[in-house]
Amino acid sequence: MQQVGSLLSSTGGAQRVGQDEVGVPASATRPCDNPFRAQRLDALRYVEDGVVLDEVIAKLRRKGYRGALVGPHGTGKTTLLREVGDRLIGDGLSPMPLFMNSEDRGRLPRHWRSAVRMAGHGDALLLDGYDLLPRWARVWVLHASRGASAVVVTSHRRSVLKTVAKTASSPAMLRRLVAELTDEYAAGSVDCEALWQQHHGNLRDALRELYDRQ
Amino acid sequence: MPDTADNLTLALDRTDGGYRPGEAITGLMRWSLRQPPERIDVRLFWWTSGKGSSDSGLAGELTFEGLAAQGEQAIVFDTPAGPYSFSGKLVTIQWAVEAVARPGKEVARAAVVLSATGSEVTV
Repeated sequence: MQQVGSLLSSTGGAQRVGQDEVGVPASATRPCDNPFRAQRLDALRYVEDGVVLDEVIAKLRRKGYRGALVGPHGTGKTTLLREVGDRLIGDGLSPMPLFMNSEDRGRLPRHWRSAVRMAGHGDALLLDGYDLLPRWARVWVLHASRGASAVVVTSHRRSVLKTVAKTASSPAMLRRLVAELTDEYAAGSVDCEALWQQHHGNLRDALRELYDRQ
Repeated sequence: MPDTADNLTLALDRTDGGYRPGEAITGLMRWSLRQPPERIDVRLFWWTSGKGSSDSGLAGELTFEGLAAQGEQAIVFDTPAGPYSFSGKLVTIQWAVEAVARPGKEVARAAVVLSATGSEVTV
């Protein structure tokens, strides 16, 4: 069966088909109605709290569009990378986002290899999970991507590339995200401080726990 | 005052929306657009939503070209063997027929439930 991921983006994949669905029990929260479902988390905008997107873009421009977004797990690196990509379109660049799947950790995925080789003038390589590559692959990627107009990576630690943003999270950020995701969850109805502590500041894990609570 | 807004609708003949594998989904698409569309694509597809990353699949596609600005068109899809419409703790699988007028942003959708009973499988 042909995959049609583009369908969902064009039709708002996080939306229900309709309010009058048939043959569907109207009992507990279905995954497609869960306010913390993955599609809604993926659509969240980056919460600018200490990191200002305009400044990140300005730093990237100064560094020849080479830089790293550095921070712990679940602090918004991937979200920030996506928004950096959107902004680079305004600079006339074409984003080429590459994501590291869990099964690819510790090796150079084939699609990364071909995309990095192919990237040229006008292309902006957005490498999410760059630090999960083996050392030889990180060196190869930076060497092979010299023809690309931009290379922006996410990493949990400092890398050879200049750090253009250090992401961090806070209970206040979690509270803002929870409030944005659902009307039922007024900021005070979830103990965001405790939840944030419990997940060691990992916002994604905290929001996934709220999925389970529905 | 005349209504000048673009309009695209999709109505399935079976109002309960439930289908079994192999049954035909039939319906009628109507449109009234300010300009004749280049084409209207109609698709039968499924997608997942829930805790994990989403997936989707296309089960059928119809393309209509050379259309007037207003009109109607019957649609027919054969339903595949699966996946069944499903809702568990972690994932929901949903089906829909969707019509998209191009160029433009007019979209019409109709929910479909596919299973052996015509009702969503729940766990």
